[in-house]
Amino acid sequence: MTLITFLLICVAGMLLTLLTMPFARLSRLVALGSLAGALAAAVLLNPNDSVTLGEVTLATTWFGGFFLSALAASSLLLCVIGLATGWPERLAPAALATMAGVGVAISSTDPTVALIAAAAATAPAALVASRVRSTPLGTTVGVAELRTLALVVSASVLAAVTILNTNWNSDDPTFVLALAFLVVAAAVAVRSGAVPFHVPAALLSRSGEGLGLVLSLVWIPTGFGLIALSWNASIFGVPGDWLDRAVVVVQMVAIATLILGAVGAMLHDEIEEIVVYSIVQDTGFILLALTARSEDAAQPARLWLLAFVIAKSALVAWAATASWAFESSNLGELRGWLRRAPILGIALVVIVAATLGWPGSPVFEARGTLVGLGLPDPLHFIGTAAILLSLAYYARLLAVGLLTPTETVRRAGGDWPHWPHLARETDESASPDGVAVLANLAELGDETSASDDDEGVPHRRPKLYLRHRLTAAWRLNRPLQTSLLVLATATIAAIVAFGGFGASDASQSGITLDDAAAPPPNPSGLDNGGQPTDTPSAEPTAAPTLQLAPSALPLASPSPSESPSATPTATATATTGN
Amino acid sequence: MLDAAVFAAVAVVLGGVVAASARDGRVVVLGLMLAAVAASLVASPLPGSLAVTARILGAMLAAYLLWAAAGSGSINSAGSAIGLVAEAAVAVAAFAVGLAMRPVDPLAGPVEAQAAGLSLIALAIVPLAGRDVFRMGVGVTLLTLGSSLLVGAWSGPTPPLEQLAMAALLVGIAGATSLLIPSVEAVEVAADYVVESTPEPVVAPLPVAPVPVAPRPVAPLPVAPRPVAVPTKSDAAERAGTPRVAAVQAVAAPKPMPAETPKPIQPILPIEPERRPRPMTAEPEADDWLAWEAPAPEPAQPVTTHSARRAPVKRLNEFEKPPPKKSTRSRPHLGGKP
Repeated sequence: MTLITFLLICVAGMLLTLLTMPFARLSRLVALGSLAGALAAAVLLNPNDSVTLGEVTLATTWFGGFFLSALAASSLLLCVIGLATGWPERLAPAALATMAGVGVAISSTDPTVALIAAAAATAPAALVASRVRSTPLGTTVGVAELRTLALVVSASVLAAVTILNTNWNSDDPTFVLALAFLVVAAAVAVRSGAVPFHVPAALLSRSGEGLGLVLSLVWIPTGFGLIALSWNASIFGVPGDWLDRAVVVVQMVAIATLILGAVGAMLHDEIEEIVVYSIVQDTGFILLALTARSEDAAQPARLWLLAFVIAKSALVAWAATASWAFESSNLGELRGWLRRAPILGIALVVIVAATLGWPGSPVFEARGTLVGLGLPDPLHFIGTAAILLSLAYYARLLAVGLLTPTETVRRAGGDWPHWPHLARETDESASPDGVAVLANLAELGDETSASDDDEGVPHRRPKLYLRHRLTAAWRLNRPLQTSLLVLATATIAAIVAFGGFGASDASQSGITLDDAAAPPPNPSGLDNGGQPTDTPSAEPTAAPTLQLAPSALPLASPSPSESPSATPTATATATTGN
Repeated sequence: MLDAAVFAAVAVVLGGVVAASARDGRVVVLGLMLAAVAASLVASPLPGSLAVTARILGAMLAAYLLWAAAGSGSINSAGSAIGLVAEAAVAVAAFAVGLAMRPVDPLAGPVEAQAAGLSLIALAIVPLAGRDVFRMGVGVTLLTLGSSLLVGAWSGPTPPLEQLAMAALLVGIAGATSLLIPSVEAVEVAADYVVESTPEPVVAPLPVAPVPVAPRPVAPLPVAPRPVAVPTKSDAAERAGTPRVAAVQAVAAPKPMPAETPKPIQPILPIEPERRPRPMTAEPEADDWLAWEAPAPEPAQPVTTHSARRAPVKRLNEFEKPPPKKSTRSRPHLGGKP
């Protein structure tokens, strides 16, 4: 029932936010309330909850609840930050729709339902991308979005029919598996903007999307990637020449993404573009998790996905806050930003720690494991190179912040705390709102005192009470508040990346589809060695959904209190009775 | 006896052909709705009433979203890129192939579903290859419908939740398409942007005689070099690289002339590069009358430069008596209001 509550909150919140969009304040209130409700429902998800609709069961797992909580928390924090930096009016409904789709996808026991829901969860990216429909970029972005959607739909359906144990009339059934693997990997790569397909992501970064970037480049690809990884070890784990060739292609894309993404981040001067290329670079690890095709890669991949979602959300929030606070996103004009905004600097350092970690930390080990399993031995240096390149562009951001401040940075107040003083009102420009705050100071005073200036001209001088000063101080310190929110987001990301909040234990368990996509004993006429059998089964086997008995669901969705199994496939195989 | 799935499959293909080839956006939407509604019925046995209702409602909602976008006037679709007949031929051919092929043996669903699915996927290729956002959305919808039919054919009956998810996916695609269709202003701006950046001439080039670029054999002149219209330094810097400058410089350049065949001097015809069509630029020159219509008179601009702010000075000839100068002394202040 908790899952249904979560889904209802998401769908109703999305509809209400869209319907109230003409009324700005009401729409914001509804959006924030819906996101808060979704976060609460996600946190309260019962790991053993299940509901049967027709022949399909929706069952929750601990990791599924954790992942949905991470999505909801990131959405809520970014929207709250957006209250100051510029309200992303379409981000909240798009995020709610995405969470609903991902919620169905990761809790369904039917692969087809899961994949179609995952494909539907990618459609809300258009809601964010449609912001540029009135610009010359509109056609290009629209075409790119729809082509990506077409690819995701094709990949989902092809993967669904592949893992449904159909009897392919082919001499080498691994060809079909390789095709499905390639299409799924292409969908993940295109949706996340991996390097050969990074142009739409770059266009989005130039379109002034701001906070909306995180939906298209982080949340949606992560949700789809989580679904794609579910049957990675089981279905695509069989050996075969075609599969090996397909894996090599994906490995090349992953390597190019890891290296060229970081190079792109180093070469660009707009911080939105730097952030986008940073995200693009780190999606290479999702592709590496796909190429690993091993059960050993499941737990690191899940932990990486959790850390990736929150850390990159924090990075996008950092970029939006810095651009807003200094009224510029050009790195040349942002020289000295760290001196004026030390809290933002601390937040960036925490984000770097959450993304890269250090030797021995869970996130560092997860990245290392993915590189080790996803690439052949001679290419393991790519992992070290990716870390060094990431450090290079992060260090560049910090180094630029330590230089002598430019006039743009000096004019902005940064995130130091400010207190409104009328005597200093001429030099107050602590924030973009500072001028407006000081202009409104006179309106805040209930009583005004009349006095004469030197020329004897009478004027009204505002007389401020403490509550007025507090109100003014609240408005004057918007950058401080926003920076603290970014720091909070980064701290949550770091805690999760280092296994806190139970992230390490949650990543031991998978999603419901992991069990449903467990390999049947004789998939596609292949024996364990991947060789076609002499007599492939002539009759189609029943759908996997029918093989999974509802009574097996609690075992298929282990909670931490129970025995978290690193190999849920074995459990599912045992319970399905195959 | 024909099964209901056969009629539904034919309706799916018919709707797909209409959606892929019609010019009017609303007809396209009607074709899509027909295909989406009929696609839910290409099954054997027929799905439950709840599932069919969900699919029909989803199809109607998706059609409504596209209908609303089509009614906004921003859709200027040119129809199919290959024409109605070609689209129909493609659909029929793909349908026939779908009836004949057996990628999965035995099929878990009706073979008509496979045929209709292949037909819709074939119809989706041309719209997906274009750059019209509306038609691309139509292509994605056809692709999704075709894929769902293939799943039904290869994997058997679909559960109700899958039908519901498919309906949500169709609504999502239609909503995304309706959101991503560029506004009228964006289309115009994009068109202007394309024209400005196109290096090709906008108008057809007029037949102009080829300009003699090679130096002509001219007898050595006993007089000073003619004042050929050599561009000034600033002009040369501005128009460097143009054919005109190259031609003029080639003519004006001192070349060793053969002296053994003196001929009467031929007048050098002025080169008229203005008659040569040039690519349209964002701000065409005033003499580029061949490729540019007379612009509308601009409103008077406020004088901003210091020199232009002065009053126009009337030129006097030497016989004209200058007007008396005004006294520069200020009037004595007589009191009262200044």
